[in-house]
Amino acid sequence: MSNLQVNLHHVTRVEGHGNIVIDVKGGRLDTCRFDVVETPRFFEAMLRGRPYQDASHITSRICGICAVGHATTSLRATENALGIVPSEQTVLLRKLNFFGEILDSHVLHVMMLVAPDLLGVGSVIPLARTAPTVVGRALRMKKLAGDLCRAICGRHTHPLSLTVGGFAHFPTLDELSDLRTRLEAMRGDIDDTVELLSSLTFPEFERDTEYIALHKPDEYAFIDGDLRSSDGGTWPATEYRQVTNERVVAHSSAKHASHSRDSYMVGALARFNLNHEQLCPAAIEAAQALGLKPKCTNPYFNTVAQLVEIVHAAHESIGLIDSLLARGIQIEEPVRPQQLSGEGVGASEVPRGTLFHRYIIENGCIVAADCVIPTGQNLANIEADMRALVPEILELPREDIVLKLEMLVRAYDPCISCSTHLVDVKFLE
Amino acid sequence: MIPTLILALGNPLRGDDGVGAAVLQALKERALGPHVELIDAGTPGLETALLLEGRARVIIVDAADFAAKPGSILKRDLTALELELRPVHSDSLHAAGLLDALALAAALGTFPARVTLYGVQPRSLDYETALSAEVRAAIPQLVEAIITALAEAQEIPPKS
Repeated sequence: MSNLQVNLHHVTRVEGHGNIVIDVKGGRLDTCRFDVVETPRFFEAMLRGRPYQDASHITSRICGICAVGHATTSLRATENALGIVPSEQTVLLRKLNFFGEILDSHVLHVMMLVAPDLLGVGSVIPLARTAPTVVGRALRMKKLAGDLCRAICGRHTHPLSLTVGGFAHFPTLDELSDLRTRLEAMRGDIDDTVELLSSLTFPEFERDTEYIALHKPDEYAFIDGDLRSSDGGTWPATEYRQVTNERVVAHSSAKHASHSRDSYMVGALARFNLNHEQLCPAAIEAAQALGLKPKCTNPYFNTVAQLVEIVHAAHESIGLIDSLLARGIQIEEPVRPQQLSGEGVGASEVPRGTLFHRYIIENGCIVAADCVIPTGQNLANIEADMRALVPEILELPREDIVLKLEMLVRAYDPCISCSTHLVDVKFLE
Repeated sequence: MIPTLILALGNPLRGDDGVGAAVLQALKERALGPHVELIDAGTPGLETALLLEGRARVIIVDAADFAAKPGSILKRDLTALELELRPVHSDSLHAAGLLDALALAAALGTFPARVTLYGVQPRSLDYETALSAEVRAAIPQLVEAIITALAEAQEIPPKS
């Protein structure tokens, strides 16, 4: 096909609104854009003038899926600004809470948003007819993830009990034991999901890019850590702007980011590529069964990396619960601030990639804030993938081209309304 | 599994969307018997499909805009078939609604034999915790309608 115009308005099965625009003239790719058409959300402006205690509750509203991720990152920024070092129990509970969210979000993406493409149906509803066991499994796993979050932070969406310096509510040992039993029972569902995905075929497409993720010396990083690039280099999270280099582009209400190349990738695949050695043995085994090997440069495998992280999160959650059961739960007062003015950065690996919050606080009130969201960091990389992919698939029927482009965008699990700060393929005709 | 479920949906922070929770509160003060479970599910999205599993009968109470006078009550018996035939218009499961969840249950084959939706026309879904006067006034009637419906099905002993 020497001429191809794609104008896919509103890509489905992603969060928010984005369009894919492709224009090929005389065999040459003339236009290749991923338009983000969501309204900007102005959360940073909303934070100005608010007391520091409000920041995590306001910013958790950026996202209904990674609300715990936003709240946790926000708390870490505030705590770093005000000289607060949370207790060991707080760190354990936050990690467990975070794994609950990773499970919830990844199960939704892998089993309900991507699986329909791999199994050749249009959405999860027909999938429920053709493969009810897969959908039933997904719903059970999501329910457990939600219940895990509920026990720790009150509710998964817009958590209540996460607070600066600690927690305002604590799970009981009975709740933790019950969750442990259910996590053990979920292993069968996870094994079946690994078996299913290892039997399915993902599109073949390789494009090396820069992969960026947080790294910690002692564990597969989700909360805190230094920034690490697959192109080499490590930076403290406080220097995140040296890495993100956000810039405004005309066709997107979300900013684009780049570091050593024109674009970089964050998310499960980037984390796997950089930190795979720190996965738990069961997750390493799952990666082998799924054919995921570092360094993987096929972006469609981000979904596979997410499944590997599901295995990791489930196993590590059991380990964390064992630690908490052995220690017992202490009803602790939150750690008080050392000072009421300062500047701090929080950084976490939320389901879709690296998230940064940075606050400047004066006399207990926020005077400046910056939030850099994973999907925003991935947008330039999605476009670069599309530019490389389109010439490879130009000979395919038009509907196959559209499907491959949509699947590519979906592979990144974009959360577009969060980043506006997704997907429609437009054939320009 | 308790065979009959009365499921309240909606967000009490959004004005009349709290009608489900208010009706449930009123039903709690009535003796409905051990075979009726009341759940205020809030805004559960697709998880609603899990709540339906294994039930013989489900009564759903929610605010519903059917272009009527505020406080009007709509009663609809829902069947798995009509939900399966309904085109899926939701683009994103990130914000799945009640009908998506019911369609999912229908597709999974876990849709209960009897599902009745009681919708109440809201006046306002603004950010407030109070119900409008019209919706508040509709609650006693709706509570009686639900109790009568349960009694007709001989699920609670009828008043002697």
